[in-house]
Amino acid sequence: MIHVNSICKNYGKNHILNCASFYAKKGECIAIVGANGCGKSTLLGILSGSKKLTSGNILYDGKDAIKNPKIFSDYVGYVPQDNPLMDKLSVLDNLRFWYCESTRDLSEDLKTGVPARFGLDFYKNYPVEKLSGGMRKRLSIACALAKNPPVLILDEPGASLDIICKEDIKYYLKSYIKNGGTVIITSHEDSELDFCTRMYLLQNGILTELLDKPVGQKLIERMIAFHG
Amino acid sequence: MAKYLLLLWFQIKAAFKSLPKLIFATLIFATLVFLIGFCGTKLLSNSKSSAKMDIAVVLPPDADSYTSLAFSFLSEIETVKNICTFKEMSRDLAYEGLRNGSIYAVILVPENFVNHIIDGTNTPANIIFPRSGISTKSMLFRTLVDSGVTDIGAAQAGIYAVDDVCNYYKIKDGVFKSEKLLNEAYFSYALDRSVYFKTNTISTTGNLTITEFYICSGIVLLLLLSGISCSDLLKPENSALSISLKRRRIPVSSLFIFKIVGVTLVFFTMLIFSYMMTALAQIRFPEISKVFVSLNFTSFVGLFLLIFGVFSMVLFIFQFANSQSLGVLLLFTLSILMLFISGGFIPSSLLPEIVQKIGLFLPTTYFIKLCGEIITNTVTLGSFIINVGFSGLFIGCAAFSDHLHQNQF
Repeated sequence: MIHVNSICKNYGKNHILNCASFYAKKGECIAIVGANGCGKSTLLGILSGSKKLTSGNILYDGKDAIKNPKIFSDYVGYVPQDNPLMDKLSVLDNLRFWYCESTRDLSEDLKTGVPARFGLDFYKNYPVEKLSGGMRKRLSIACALAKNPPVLILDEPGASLDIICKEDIKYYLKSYIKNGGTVIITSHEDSELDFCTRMYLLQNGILTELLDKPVGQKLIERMIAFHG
Repeated sequence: MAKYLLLLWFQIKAAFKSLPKLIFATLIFATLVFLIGFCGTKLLSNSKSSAKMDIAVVLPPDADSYTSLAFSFLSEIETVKNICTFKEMSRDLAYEGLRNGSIYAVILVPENFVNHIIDGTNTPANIIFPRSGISTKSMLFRTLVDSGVTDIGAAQAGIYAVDDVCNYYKIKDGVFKSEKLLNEAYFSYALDRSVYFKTNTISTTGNLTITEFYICSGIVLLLLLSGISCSDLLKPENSALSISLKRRRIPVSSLFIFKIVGVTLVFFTMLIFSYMMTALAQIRFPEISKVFVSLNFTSFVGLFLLIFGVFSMVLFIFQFANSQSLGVLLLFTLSILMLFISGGFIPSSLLPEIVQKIGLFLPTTYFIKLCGEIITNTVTLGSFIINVGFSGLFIGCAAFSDHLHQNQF
């Protein structure tokens, strides 16, 4: 499904990614972990096509997305750390904007689709600026899924959300994976890491697979050991 | 295309949703701007500086009727009347006035002054200026007197030349007739000097009256300050939205243009509404029609471009600052500073030359100029082009600024 081959990213003299490679199959959830500022968001930005890489290539179903950037928007739904929403507009207007190039029917989805699943139908006329952090994140995910992409990339989706909201999002992601979707997620939360199929550690620009998928104290020890 | 139209529609919608807040803020800023404009108008139309010169005329004790008539005639001539007021008074009073500064100059008229002009004796009148130094006004009066003396000298030369010609050819009857005709001709042409000049009003405010000038700079200042109330709409978007738009291949410059269009439409609507209300108020208060200007279509287009230009600058300032609070601070400071350099508070002709030169490079100079053209219905293509150019430049710079912020590590 996704093949990331030796991608490098430099900001001036800073080597953020140094020949990072990995793959992800359909129905898999890949977790990228690492310390703050190690380049996780940059990696996800590159995978979603919103940041340019210095070298390397990315294949979605064997198609080179670097040569044809349209592949990024066709294949990937991307939820950045901040919510990509227009605060002055209502929930419905935000959804309409992201649905306008989609083949999906928004009114139908508000009854049975992802927006309904996240309870957004109830808030559809609310201005986004008045929504709670949890509802905003739900809306961001719903917007990212407007075009029904086979890959969903989430950058720390649970950050600063309450437990119920986190569980709700986690529950949805599980069902997304079960239906054949691929998820790439960065997180510091154990609860978001335990349902991942594989885990990678990003440190000093190098991406390493953690075969035993450590969480909690084990993960911290591994990170310190790697650093040392 | 649909995504662009939808984005434009949403930006217009978001701007109009803020209408009550914008109206309230605009009213507050309008009050502030009105106070600044009022003080400026008072400063420029200071009554003392535009007062006429009082000139004392001291006639001899046995002044003939010709002399009195000549001075009353002189004081009624338009060019003289606009500058001087001749006051006939005694020598003592005139000197007292000269000492206390109420009189600019004293003319001491000798006996038989007019008769001596006619017979060619030409006894000169004495003009006395204050000892404390010659002011600009005294010099102006001196110039006026000199030019009058030259005129009368030329008239006399002409009359005496004709007298000599008549005497040479022994045409005794012709002397009186030709003197009479020439006197009339010289007095009507030589003394009425206004026929030689075309009227050209020179003002510190250019082609605008002081009131019009302050209306223009007031409108520009109001629009710039209104940028503060629009900061919610024009502030930099969070990077996540910019990234997501980029992924959908919507250039950030399109978002900027749509945002500016939204805010421009709100302010354009507000101004048009105020304009229509004023037009309707003429029915109830006819005196409004004395100051009301019926704008033509070109002026309305100019108004839209003016608002668009100002808000392009505001958006650029916010993008450059990359923060709403810093943007507000920067906008306020730059608005006041730029408007001052552009001559918005004190007309640029009264500012130092270096400031005037800097002002030529500031957009606010051209905003004020366009505004002046709008309210006088004289909008030119050049002003359109300059304004559109500035808008394009600001949007381009804002997009570049956003690009730099996005790629910061």
